[in-house]
Amino acid sequence: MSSGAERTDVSNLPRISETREPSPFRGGRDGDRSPDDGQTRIRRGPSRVGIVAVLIVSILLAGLTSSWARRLRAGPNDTATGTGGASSLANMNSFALALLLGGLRGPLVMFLWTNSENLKNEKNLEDFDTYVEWIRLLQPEFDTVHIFQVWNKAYNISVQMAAVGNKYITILDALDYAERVEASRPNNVSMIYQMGSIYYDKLGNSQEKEYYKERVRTESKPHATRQKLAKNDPGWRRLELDPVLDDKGMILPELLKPKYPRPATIPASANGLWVNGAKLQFLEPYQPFPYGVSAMAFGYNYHRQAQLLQALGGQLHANLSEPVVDSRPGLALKGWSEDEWERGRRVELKALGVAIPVERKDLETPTASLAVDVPISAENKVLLPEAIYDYDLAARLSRDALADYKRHIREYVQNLQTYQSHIDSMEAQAPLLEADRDYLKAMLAPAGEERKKLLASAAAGYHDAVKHNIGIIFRYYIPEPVAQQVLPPGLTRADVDKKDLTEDQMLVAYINAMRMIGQAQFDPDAEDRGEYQHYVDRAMLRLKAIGK
Amino acid sequence: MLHTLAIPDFITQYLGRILFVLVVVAGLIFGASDLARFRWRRVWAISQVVWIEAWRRKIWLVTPLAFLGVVIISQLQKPYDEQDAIRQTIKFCIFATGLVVAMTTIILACTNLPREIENRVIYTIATKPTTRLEIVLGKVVGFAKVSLTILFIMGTLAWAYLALREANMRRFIAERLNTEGAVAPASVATLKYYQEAGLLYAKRQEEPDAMQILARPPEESGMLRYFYGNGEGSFLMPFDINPSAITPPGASQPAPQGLVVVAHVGYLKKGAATQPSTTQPAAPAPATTQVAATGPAIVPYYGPFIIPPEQRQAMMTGSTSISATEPTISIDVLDANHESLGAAKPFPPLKILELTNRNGLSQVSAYFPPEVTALLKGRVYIRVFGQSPDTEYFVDMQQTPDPVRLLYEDAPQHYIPLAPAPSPVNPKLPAAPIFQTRSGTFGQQLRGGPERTPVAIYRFRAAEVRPTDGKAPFEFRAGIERSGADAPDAPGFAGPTEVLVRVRNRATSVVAETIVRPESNRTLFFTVPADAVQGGEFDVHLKNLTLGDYVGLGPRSVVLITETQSFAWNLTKSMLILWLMSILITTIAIFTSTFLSWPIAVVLTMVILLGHWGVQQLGESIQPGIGATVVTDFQLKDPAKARAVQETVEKLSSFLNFISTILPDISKYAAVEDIERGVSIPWLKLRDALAVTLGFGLPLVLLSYIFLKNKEVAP
Repeated sequence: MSSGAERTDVSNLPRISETREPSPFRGGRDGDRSPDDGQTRIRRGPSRVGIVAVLIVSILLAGLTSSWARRLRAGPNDTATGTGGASSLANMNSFALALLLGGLRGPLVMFLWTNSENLKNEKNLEDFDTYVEWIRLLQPEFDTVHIFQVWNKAYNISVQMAAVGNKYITILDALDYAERVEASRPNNVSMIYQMGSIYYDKLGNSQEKEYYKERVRTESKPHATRQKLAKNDPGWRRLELDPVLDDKGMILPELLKPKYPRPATIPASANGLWVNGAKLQFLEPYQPFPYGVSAMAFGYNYHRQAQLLQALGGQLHANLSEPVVDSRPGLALKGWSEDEWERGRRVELKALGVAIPVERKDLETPTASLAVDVPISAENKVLLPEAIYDYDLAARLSRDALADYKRHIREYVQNLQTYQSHIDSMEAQAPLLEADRDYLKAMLAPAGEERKKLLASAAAGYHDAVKHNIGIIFRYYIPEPVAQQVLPPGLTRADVDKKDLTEDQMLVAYINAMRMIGQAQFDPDAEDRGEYQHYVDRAMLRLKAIGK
Repeated sequence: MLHTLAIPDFITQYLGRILFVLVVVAGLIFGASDLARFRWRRVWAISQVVWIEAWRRKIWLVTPLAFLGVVIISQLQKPYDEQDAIRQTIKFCIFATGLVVAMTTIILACTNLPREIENRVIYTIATKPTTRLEIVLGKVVGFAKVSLTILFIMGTLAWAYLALREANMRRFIAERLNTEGAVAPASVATLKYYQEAGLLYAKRQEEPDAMQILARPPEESGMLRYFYGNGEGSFLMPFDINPSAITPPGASQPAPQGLVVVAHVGYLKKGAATQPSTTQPAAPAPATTQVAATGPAIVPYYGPFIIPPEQRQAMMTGSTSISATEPTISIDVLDANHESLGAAKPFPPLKILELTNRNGLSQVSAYFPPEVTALLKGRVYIRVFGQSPDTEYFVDMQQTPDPVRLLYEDAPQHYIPLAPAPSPVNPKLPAAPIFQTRSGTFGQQLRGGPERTPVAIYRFRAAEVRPTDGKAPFEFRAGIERSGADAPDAPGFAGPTEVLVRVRNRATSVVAETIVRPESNRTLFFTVPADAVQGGEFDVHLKNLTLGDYVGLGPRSVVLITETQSFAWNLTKSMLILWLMSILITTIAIFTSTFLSWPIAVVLTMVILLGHWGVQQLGESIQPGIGATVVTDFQLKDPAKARAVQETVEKLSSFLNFISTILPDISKYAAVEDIERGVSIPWLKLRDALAVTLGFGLPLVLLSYIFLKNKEVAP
């Protein structure tokens, strides 16, 4: 240190009068004021202004650098994204919030958690949503918190509602919660997976699924919103799903607007796909949706995003293993396919004037034996294109699901055992659905060459379906000793549809096996096998109706 | 409770009052001279100094800051509907006000005296002819004025903000109601009510006198009261048991032989005639039942215990069961909290309690074994359940006004009937049986369906009715459970639960009906024509119309709104309660600061304030027996150690309980509950708050005075 620096500059020292403690004896309004207070204030003024100015500049600089850093961040297809984000309370950084609360964020959050869970257990939900919202704002970085709360709302809270309509709105509220988290922490694999799970598992597969699925499909179509208030209005509350389609059944452009470019390299596990940031990116290949979008379709869209965020971005779900996240697009495609399939069956039954059974398994055969030229009223005939659309989409989804299962098995070979039956099902249902599509098209086509071609195509599909479904029946639902007795020598039950057996040989083996099982006292596979037997029956009846 | 401290029960019970009297008497004796010199003028002057000092320190600045917090928090809420938004905002406002006033009072009052003593400002007062009592009182009054100012500012800001928010919310309601399909059908009536009545109000409510759930409305069944079988319906008869009255001389426990219970119940099988052919009991009631229930009487001896002749005859002929298909009942006893204490047993060789008379009332006898009677103390209820499915049971209120009798054997073959509890309406009469159904998550379950479903009856007597525009508004709140019996494809599956409300004027027989569609645990409003409630003597019948749904009802699920008062006035009452609380805080803070430095005084003040509440929160974990639990939890094997730990924990828990009895109960300052629900705060709550403030404040002021008088604060 230089000698100059050691010199004391007395001009900046406070005066003795400034350091003096205020006298309590002065009393009154001047008790804590020194005689020269006015001068002191004047002197302090500029220094305070300077400090404030430095503070403001620092805050502005922090904001600018933070914004710059965020812009520099790579897209979702690169690693290390989706886990940070602009978590905020009214645009305030959560760390600033923690500071603002003076270290009381922890106790406050504990209080809110305890109270919200108590309210839930007491089934008194008046303050519940507010508490959960505060927890979200106070713990923005915790994926597990958001995963739990989305699940909590969609499952635990929705079931506490009496009216199914209110249950549905509560599930939509859970999705809104997830959307809000997604908005503040974009491309987060945990939250996107959770959204897919709510659409697929809750809306698509719960006890009230028929009601939910119908509402999702209807509300996905263009409709006037019943809520006139703006979303940020305090009186706003969700009453329905926002429309995602235009009049032509095409997805609204803003939901397909890409945000990120295609990455330079895409690994094989991504199958040539990447996340472009559009909200409904993975539904684009399947549009138009003239009859609305299935809840399963939304589920697929989000599950595919989650899978790619994991495969390309290297993100890991907070609770689930990699194989689980990776398998979900295939499962969702399968579910979506089956949903369209069931819908197609119901529309077909309605169009052909047949009473619609309640049970899913009973939908297969009532119309199967109807001839291609059966008279259909004009009123019902207009329904056939809808069934044709459903079958077409379902068949396409089956093939896509099949491809995705194969991709998944390539990545995670340990799951082969788990998903082999799914693969078999997809292989069997695709030709059946294509055949159904062509048969209905033939019903609409005038008698002539076009109808013949369609029927020929349908017949090929039905033959294929018979082969695959009998294969499934043998593989999974016929005991090995029975199979050995009815199959040609050298053939195991796993090979029935893989070897060059003729259809007649397969059918004979199948019928013989059924006869033998019918004589047995106990048939544990009867119910599970019944599903595939219905498909075989349908295909056979249709082949008989076609005459092939 | 304090047996381990060897303090007599009397002292434990009245400890608070005894301490109050002792301190006041000591204060009067000790401060007689200062009391004689007491001048209110000097107290007021000191209080003015306190108030000016607080004002000069810009304490009021905390109020807009706190209110800013309220506004921010209110924007982050997620209400269920507009009314819920206002309810939550009211809660935030009152909570913030209470917090601000409590914290500022604690900080100001705890620091005031120690600082004045430390910086010797107190010299200027203590050296004047001001007494220490006047100083203490002056401080209390001064801080009461400060808290009143804060409350006035916060109250005004709260009122203005709430009024603004309410105007917005009413606009939103109008917007929603005007938009087709924007409001669920179940919510339309409620939103219209809010639109008309506003969201800021203080309603006065008339609660029902009683609730019963029967299989049929009384109008259809004369003096018979029906309840369903299959474990769904039951009735309760209350008794007040004095253990010493049923303990024979020399016996170690009440009713060592057990207690005999006799019930008179009839039944109708499904598909039978809608009324029984006769309700004559199969066996004559014991002679004792004819006697006034106050005195002992001799009961005809039917065997080792009382057995109806039919049962006896059947037993003698060897057919122990008269008919395997006869409906059965079960009898058990509940404590005052409706917790089951034990079941009554049939007399051997019978295994079940069957109703043997197919054409009227059957007399069924059973007994409570000694291990159950040992638990009977105070108010108990004998419950009779109908067990058999497809059966309606009944009691005949004309034939047997007290359908259950409890008999105590004071000597061999000598039975004394125990008097039923007196009726709450007319104590000279025995209480009527209480009919109910199975308890579910939300209360008693009202099963739904198109037919053969129970009806809930809410009885209003001498209700104060003030209809507006020819309509009487009601509030309805119930929980709903879905059984899953309604298949997804059933009609109405997606619809709301429907409840038929039937209001019947008992004086004029005018009946009004409406169907409401409640959502689980949400308040719903409906109105009926004023004629149906005119005179204040009416019943409200509820019938659940939705198959598979259970409506959970409580005793206050239906209330009549009699009047709507000004919200501002209700807010003032709420602020008044907070003010009384702040005065209590001031007295505690000044008391602690007379003998402690201010940081310790702050802590002690908080402990005194929250002590009673804290012990309440610990609840059962500090009840007798906790010592044994701790020993078990810690797996202490050594008997000496185990005993030491057990006794120490027991003593500590007893000590905690003891301490809590002399600490103020801050739950009496109930400033939020009523106002947030839009209910007018009853004067009773203000009285309770005042009682706590005076009960603790006065002795603490006197103690502060005594401590200060003995403290050297000035030369």
